[in-house]
Amino acid sequence: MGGILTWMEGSTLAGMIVGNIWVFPALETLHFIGLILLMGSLLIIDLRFVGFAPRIPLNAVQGFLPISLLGFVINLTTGILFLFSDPLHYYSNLAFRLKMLAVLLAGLNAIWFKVSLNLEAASTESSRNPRMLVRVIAGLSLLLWTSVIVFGRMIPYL
Amino acid sequence: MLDWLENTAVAVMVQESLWGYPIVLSSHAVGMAILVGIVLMINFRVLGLAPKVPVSALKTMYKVALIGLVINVVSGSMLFVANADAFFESTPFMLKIILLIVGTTLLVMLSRRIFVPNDAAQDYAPTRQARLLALISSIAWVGVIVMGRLIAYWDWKDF
Repeated sequence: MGGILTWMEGSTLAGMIVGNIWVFPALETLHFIGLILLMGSLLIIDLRFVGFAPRIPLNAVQGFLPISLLGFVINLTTGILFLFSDPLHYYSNLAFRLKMLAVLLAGLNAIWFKVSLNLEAASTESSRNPRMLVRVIAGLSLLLWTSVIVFGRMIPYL
Repeated sequence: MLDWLENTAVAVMVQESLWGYPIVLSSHAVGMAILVGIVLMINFRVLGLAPKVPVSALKTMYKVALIGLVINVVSGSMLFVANADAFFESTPFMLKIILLIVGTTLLVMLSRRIFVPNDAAQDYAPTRQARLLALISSIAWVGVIVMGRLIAYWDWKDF
C-alpha cells in the first residue's frame, strides 16, 4: 500500500492538482455539484419508494436515475483526483475510511434495491405502494448517503 | 453589531466547542443536498427529464426542499455569527446571499405556477414561462454553491 501511495503522491497528476491554487477549489466545487445531483435524484426516488408522493408512478420516478449515475461518476472522478493530491493524508484519515465504508454499503444496498425491485416486478404488477422490504431499503439508502456526506465533511477534523 | 454577534452564546459555542463547528458544517452540507438537490430535480423535470412524472405530484418533494432551506438558514446563521466580520467583508459571501435570494424567489414563483391542483395540462407540458423560470433558477442555485465554496479561498482572512 505504501508503494502505491508514494507513487500517487509523486505522479504527474498529483503535481497538476497541487501545482495551481485554483485546481483544488474547482474540483471541490464540482464534487459539491456531483453530490447535489446524486443526493437530489436519490431523495426523489427513495422518498417515493419509502411511501411519499404516492401520485408519482413507481416506474416513472426512475427517470431520475441517470442523474444519480451522472452525480456518482462526477464524484468518483473528482474524488480520485483528491486522493492523488494527498494520498497519505486521506489513507490514514478515519473520516475518509468511514466515508469509503459508507459508500461501499450504499453501493451494496443499491444492488439489493435493484434485485428486490426486479423480483417484485416479476411477481406483481407495478403497484402504487411498495412492500415493506423495498421501503426499508430505500430509507437505508438515504441514511447511508447522508452519512457519506457527513463523514466527507468531517475529513478535515478527524 | 458584528462584534456583538461574535460574542453571543451561539457564536461562542460554534467557535469553541470541539465538535460545534464540524457538526454545524455537516448540517449545512446535508441541508444543501436536500435543498439544492431537490430544487434542481424539480427544475429538470419542468425542463423535460422523467417525462412520465406528473409535475404537480412533486409538491411533496418541494416541501422537503423547504425543510432543507430551514436547516441551512439556521446552520448558515450559526456559521455567520461565529465569524461575522470576515463573512461581512467577503465578496463571494455577499454574492452567495444575493444569488440565494434570487434562487428562492424563482423557486417560489415556479412553485406557484406548477403546483396548481387539477391542472392536468401543466402536469405533462409545463409552459414556456415555467421552463424559463426553471432554467434561470438552476443557474442561480449552482451559483450559490460556487460562491459558497469560494468563500474559503477568496480573500479569506481568518483561516
